[in-house]
Amino acid sequence: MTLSGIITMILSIGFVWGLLIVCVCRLIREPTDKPTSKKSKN
Amino acid sequence: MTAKSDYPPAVTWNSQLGTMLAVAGSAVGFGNFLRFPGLAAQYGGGAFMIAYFSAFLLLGVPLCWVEWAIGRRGGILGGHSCASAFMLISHSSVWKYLGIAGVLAPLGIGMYYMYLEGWTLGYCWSTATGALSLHSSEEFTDFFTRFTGSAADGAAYTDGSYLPYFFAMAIVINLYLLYRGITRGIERFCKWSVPVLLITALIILIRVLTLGTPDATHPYRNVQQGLAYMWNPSKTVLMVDDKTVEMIPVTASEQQARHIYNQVQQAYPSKQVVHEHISLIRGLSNPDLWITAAGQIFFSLSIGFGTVLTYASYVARRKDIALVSLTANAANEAVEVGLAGMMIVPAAVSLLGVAAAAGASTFGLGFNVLPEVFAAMPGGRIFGTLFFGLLFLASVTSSISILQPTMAFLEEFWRLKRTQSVVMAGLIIVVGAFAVSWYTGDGMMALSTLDFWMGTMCLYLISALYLVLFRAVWGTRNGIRELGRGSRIPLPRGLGFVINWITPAILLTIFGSWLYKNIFQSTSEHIRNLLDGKPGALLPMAWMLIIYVFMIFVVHTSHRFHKRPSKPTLPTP
Repeated sequence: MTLSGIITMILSIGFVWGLLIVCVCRLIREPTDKPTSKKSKN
Repeated sequence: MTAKSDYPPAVTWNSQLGTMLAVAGSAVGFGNFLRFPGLAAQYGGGAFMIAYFSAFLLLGVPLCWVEWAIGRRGGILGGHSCASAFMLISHSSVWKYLGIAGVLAPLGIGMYYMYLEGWTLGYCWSTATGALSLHSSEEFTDFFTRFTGSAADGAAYTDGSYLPYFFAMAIVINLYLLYRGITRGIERFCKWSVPVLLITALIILIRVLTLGTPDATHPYRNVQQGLAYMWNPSKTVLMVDDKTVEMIPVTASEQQARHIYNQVQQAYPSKQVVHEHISLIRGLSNPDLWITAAGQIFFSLSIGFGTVLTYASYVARRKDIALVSLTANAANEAVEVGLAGMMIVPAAVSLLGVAAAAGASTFGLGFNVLPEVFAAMPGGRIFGTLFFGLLFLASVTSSISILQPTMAFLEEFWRLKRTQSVVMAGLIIVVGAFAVSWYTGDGMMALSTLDFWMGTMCLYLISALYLVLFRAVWGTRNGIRELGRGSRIPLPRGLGFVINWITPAILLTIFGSWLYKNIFQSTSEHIRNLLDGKPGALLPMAWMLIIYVFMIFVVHTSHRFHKRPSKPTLPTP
């Protein structure tokens, strides 16, 4: 496997898993009934 | 139970995680595990991924957001199908007739999806019982032909195949889950099946990555070579009759490369073996690559199926939809790129060689190549059973979402109870699915006809309708405001511009190129089959036409949504 192949693989997989992890964390972190995070802080 | 006077029942999802898993489950299907790896490898890894992620960000995510916003708005106004949501948002009766396409297309897709679920269930059973412990490619092809009845029309029913039993089982499972409803059926099922699907895929991935070099007599058939074939942006391949049959490893010396070339030449003595170098720049300058990558994103995210719209209509007014949509898309991509991309092609290359994985069709890869891969793999019976079980789960989570728009349509326009709508949708599906499973001759004519008209053409049209409604009728600003309500993520600043200009341009390009290839450049075989009056093409399409007329009748005679709603009485976003 070439270096560019390894980079392509890591970037692609890192992007999709990274996006998923960030989204799931965000989804779980805040309770679902809050209207918006901005309003709840006020 | 909800009282009759409360109709329509105010059904909403129990949790946002459940919503996300149901939408992700709806998107994850055959395309993720079988179509994507083949395309990415064929177009040279890196170049394909650049086009793929560009399409994901500029076509996939915006179009999904459009569908979610339309769906939730429709749900707030009391409409859960494309037909009712379109009408309630546009305040025009014309749109409810246009929206029927968003109910008809998933129904047509559901007819052949059930049949394919029967395949996956049958292959799961056959791998577990050892019936698929065969030895040569010819034996696997023969098994496929006998099992699916693809030798002639009706062969699956007359040649003693077990397929009809698995097919019936798949229909019963789907209808049962739909009967249970949104929260007790679909949400509960997806809450355990999607994590099980992910864990199973991870187990198979670990097995594939630890395969090493399974056959010492073929030192270049190994996992590294498989990963290189899948991901290297530049590679040198050997081709025979325009089909890739071998790849020269990057570590190979000139002498070794010559040896590989000679081996291929010996395997194809009467053919000319051609050296082909695929590079990143050459890949990116190929318009076909961009169109294929955009098409893959389009189908992979189930855009235009009408299912996301229906699912979104059950989301409560103040709940987040932007983040849930993005999470579901990310989950779909993680399965497609992160799991299937690492699993399928490396397994096929390390056990059977590059020729087996290169250019195989979706079904060819799934039901001819992969069973052979599992038969050659140590512990393959267990992993093969797991894989086809995984495919079955993935297809059920998709098919229940595909049928839900029809249920919603029947329940809201004809005020049917759930049992009645399940029976009616079941009858429509069973007749269509039977036609698909009967007309299997001539390259699965009924299946490919429905896939062409309902599973491709209609999806482009429905997506175009979404964009027209969102932009020209509802107003992009109103749509984005709906999307942003309750959102836990800030929406990108240029989103309106992308939805107004970039996404339609990409959609128009891929639809235009599809039309040019299939209609203008050469009359598609699907059109010719219809013009020639072949029953395998004509009968499923006649059935779709009957359903279409029936749906128009239902919409026309329904008292719900009959009056043109007046704008002032509608809740504002």
